[in-house]
Amino acid sequence: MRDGATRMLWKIGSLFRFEPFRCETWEAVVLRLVFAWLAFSLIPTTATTMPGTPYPHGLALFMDLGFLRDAGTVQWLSATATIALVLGALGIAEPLTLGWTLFVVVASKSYNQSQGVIGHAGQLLTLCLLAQWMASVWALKKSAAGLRGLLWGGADSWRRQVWWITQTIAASYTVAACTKLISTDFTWPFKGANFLVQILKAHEENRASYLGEPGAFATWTVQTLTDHPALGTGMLVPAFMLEFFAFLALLNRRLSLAFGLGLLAFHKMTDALMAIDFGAHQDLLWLFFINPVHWFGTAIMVAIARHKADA
Amino acid sequence: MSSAYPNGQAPAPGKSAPAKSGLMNLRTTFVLIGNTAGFFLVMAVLMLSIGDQFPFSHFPMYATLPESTFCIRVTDADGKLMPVQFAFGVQSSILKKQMVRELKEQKDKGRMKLVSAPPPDIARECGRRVLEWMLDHRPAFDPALVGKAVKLEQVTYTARKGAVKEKVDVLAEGFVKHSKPAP
Repeated sequence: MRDGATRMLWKIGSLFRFEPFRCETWEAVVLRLVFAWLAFSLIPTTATTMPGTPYPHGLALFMDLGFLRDAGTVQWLSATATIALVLGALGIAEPLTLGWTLFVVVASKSYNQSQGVIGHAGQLLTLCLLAQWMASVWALKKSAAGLRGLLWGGADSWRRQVWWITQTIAASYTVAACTKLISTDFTWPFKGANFLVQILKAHEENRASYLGEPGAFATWTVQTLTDHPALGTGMLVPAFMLEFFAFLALLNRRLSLAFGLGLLAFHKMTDALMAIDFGAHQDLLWLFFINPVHWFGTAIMVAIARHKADA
Repeated sequence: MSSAYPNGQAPAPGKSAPAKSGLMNLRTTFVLIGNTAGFFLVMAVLMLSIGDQFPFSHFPMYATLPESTFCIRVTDADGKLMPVQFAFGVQSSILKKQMVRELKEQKDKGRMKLVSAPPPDIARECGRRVLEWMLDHRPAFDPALVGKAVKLEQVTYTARKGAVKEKVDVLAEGFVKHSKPAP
């Protein structure tokens, strides 16, 4: 009996065992290529129509971004940032190429955010691009190859980029949970009764923007929360726990998968309830937390190894 | 901040150092976590301390969950809802954020105490500015709308004693100034 309980505890404990991050070169290559495809969506394609930056934000605090109003300049920036992103994805001169793409993206997004309204949809994706660039610069410090290291970071740098991006995603969720606690004097998870007004507001915003109507699930949830307001806390607590403990996903691949699926379900639920999809966040969770590339690749490698052993 | 390993890669299973036990093992684990996940801490501290300055953010969306919240909508002169994304290319949530910013500015000037409970005259003043912003910067997609009257309404939802109350206030009225075909 005691042996059984000990074995069970050991099994549960092993779920949380810290396993230092390992990433095969092929995995790092695929993840970086797909990530570049995601980051491509951040590059501006047209000049801004807004006349200025009345509420300077981000990079606009430090420099005049008026050049983003000129169509010719933006075309040139867009083309060079795209070429730089492709070169960076191929591993060529990453500190320079990724740095240029990052500058163009941060400049254009800063301009948009300087109109007095802050949106958060593309923020995490840009933070991940920043993390990737920082990892590529960090590789210079680690490299003994001098100029060659600047031009070609190599597999070690790529693995570090993947790991730093993963850590950035985890940090964003934990920080979001900390902000909730700080803003509400640690009472956020227990404000379930107020959750209903947020859902109703989101439905009305959707109607006011697109004449959108809530789906069956959203309507049912509103009715259920109207009848039983305390159930709101039952919805908020698991969501909060997933966000706050997102850093546990860094312990090992199994927890990364579990948190990836949990957070993805959280986003899907938010989308179904309030029409807020945060598509870029979902893409990043798929790529770096759930990471089918790793699981499929590992399964194929194990199958090949078994086949060879049998032969 | 760097990896615990010289090349950023952990050793393959079976090639790692011999396992230690007890406190040493725990200490090694903490050092490994600190060394390999240090970037997590760096980013978390940066996000929390810098706050909302692109690309950093402390992600304050739905961080307060107050008893009361509101949304902004636009109607025609007869009170018929105009879907702002289809009519002007702007989302209702953007108009709300503009409204909150206007209210915060009034609070910073000392004209009111709570953004969530502005005096009606200040709410109408802020609403007028939000409508002006929309009509100036977001031309209507349909040329037939130019010259037509529009109203900016605030719909407030308040949770009290297990029930939600809805209240609608007209904040401002104006006329569509110009049009531009939808992209």
